[in-house]
Amino acid sequence: MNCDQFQEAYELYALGLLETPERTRLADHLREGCPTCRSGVQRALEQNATVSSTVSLVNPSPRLRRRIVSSVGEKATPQIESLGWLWGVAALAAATILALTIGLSVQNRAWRAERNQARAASSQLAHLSDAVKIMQAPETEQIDFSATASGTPGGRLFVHRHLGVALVARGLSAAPAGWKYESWIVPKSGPPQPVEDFELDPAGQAITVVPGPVRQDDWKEIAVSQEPENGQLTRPTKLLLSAPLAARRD
Amino acid sequence: MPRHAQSKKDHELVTRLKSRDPQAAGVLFDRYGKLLYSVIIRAVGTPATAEDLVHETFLRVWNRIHTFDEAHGNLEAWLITVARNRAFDYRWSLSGSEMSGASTDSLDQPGWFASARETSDRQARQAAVREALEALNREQREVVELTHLQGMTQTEIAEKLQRPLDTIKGLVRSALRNLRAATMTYKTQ
Repeated sequence: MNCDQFQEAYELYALGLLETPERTRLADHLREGCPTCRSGVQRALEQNATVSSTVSLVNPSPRLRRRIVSSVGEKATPQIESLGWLWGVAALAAATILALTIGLSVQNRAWRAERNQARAASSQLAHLSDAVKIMQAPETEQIDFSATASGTPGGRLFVHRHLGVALVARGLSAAPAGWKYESWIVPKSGPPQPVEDFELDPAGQAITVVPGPVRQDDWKEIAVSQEPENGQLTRPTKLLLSAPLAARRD
Repeated sequence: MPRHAQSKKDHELVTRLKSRDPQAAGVLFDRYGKLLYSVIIRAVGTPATAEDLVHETFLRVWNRIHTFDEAHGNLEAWLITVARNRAFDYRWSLSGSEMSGASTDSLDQPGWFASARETSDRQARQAAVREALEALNREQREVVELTHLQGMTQTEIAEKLQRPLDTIKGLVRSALRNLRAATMTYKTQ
């Protein structure tokens, strides 16, 4: 088999984009163990990854880290197996060590709490930085969705085609205990998509960000709702405001 | 960060992930979560979907890390490939494309990302690729964007841009040839 015919196909094959019948031919050839083509595909995978790594960086919502760490952490919890007499030895050792480590663990908990607070603060800061970038970009479009009635929440949308949407909401009242604020993308068709939960400042204002490219052809509005803390985010429970992505032409 | 320092940190991190250290997942997210989210959201557009796919990426990596070669593997390239494949598979499933996850599944196996040669430092390599991307003409850049970042086949690109398929194939071929030449030249410097 002559490998020359495949040399210009490695990158598309590595992206999963090579179309049949070339894809089948190269896959079969690789299964035969050709070292030249394997090396070519390896190089292409690395090159493709490098092209992908040049993408503009977008901060994910702070809750994504919590979600991933908690789900992987659960899977990492060691299985408790039957250890027979080892339990006795372990219990004795544990009792001895407990007294020695209790002071240290209090100290460690304090450190852990501070570290977690710092991490959360850093994440919030990155999020605010995204909002500021969107608001300050010269191409950003501003759309007011002023309150139509006294006491109704209103605010302003900042829409940048590539960086995302920042929604500044005013006139919201504190969420009841056990509830939180959630922002949503409302598409022109299909169910709303949850974006992130957020908190109000003492004046009843909040900034929520939908990071990344804005699909103005597909998205109708950005909405804010109140949701139960542990509820399923399938659709807005208490819808508080809806901000259309296209400016009204009065 | 110089490549050797990044590699050393990744090497240690992979060892911790293999030993099922639950905190290592947080470190992995802090190091690569933003990049993987950015790669995925560029392809799928919706934050909630992108978050689901990043989550799926981390679970897939967590479940396969035991076969990753920390001594010679390129962790970043592997992670990006897993993330990008998740995003492309999602797009293809929505559009009813003839492409399928089966075509990418075998290509995010960790074995593909082990290389005996010493790779150049990451920032310099990215700079070489960026330079090569900037040197492409507008049409070539557009097709690279549509293939590499959005997972569109040449047929789909031809339909989207309303250009003949042969023209698109020619643009893709010349763009990839230029990128290949730039990275090959860089590696031999």
